[in-house]
Amino acid sequence: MGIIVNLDVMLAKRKMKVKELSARIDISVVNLSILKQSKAKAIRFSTLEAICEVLECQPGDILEFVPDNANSHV
Amino acid sequence: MRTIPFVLSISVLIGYKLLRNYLDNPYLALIVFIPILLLLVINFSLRKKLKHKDWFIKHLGFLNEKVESSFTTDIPPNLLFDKIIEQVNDSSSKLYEHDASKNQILAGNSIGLRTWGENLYIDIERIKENESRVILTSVTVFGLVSWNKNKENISKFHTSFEESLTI
Repeated sequence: MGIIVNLDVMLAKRKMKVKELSARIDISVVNLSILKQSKAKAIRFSTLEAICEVLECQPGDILEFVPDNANSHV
Repeated sequence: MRTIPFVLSISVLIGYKLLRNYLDNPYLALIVFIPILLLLVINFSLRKKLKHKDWFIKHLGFLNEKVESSFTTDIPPNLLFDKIIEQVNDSSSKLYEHDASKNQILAGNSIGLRTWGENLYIDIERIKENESRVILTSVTVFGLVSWNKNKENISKFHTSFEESLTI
């Protein structure tokens, strides 16, 4: 699986819409949707910082590493 | 850039004058020049509409230079459509028209010193649920040679698309 972006989870916890986050951090809804769906190639520290600041969370709350063979160990 | 149409008009007039002198018959020169100018005017009036795509790519294919390229991505088509529109708006190209129902986008570059401008047709196809293919066709609006502009347009698009995925 690799790196999973849990942005939708944090948005739900903070009861915030993507559109509102987009306006507050000045990143387009399209780019946030790509990030949310883990389709982005990379994330800038500045983007991560802005998201964490608005959502009042830590980078670890947004990003999660899931090994590819996670299921085989279960 | 405002001087370019002026320079091109002067070039056309000089070309006409040279042809007239060479052919030694003003009417013959006009017969040669009028269809060319007419085609130029028609192409410029049709270039900004998606419905005239076939005119540039198929019907006029032997008179225009085109370069085609495609790539796949794991972004779903509807999201990719919005992403590409955003990318075109952020680039030096102009967004002429887009059709969300057909997943087609038409962008273009204006007249430059090398060409009379190029159209960039972008088609998005769904391969699987979360996989799309982007087909790019860069075609000159007028002229048999693009002086590498078509290749440059496609290469620029690829580069800016990859860069735009760093968020």
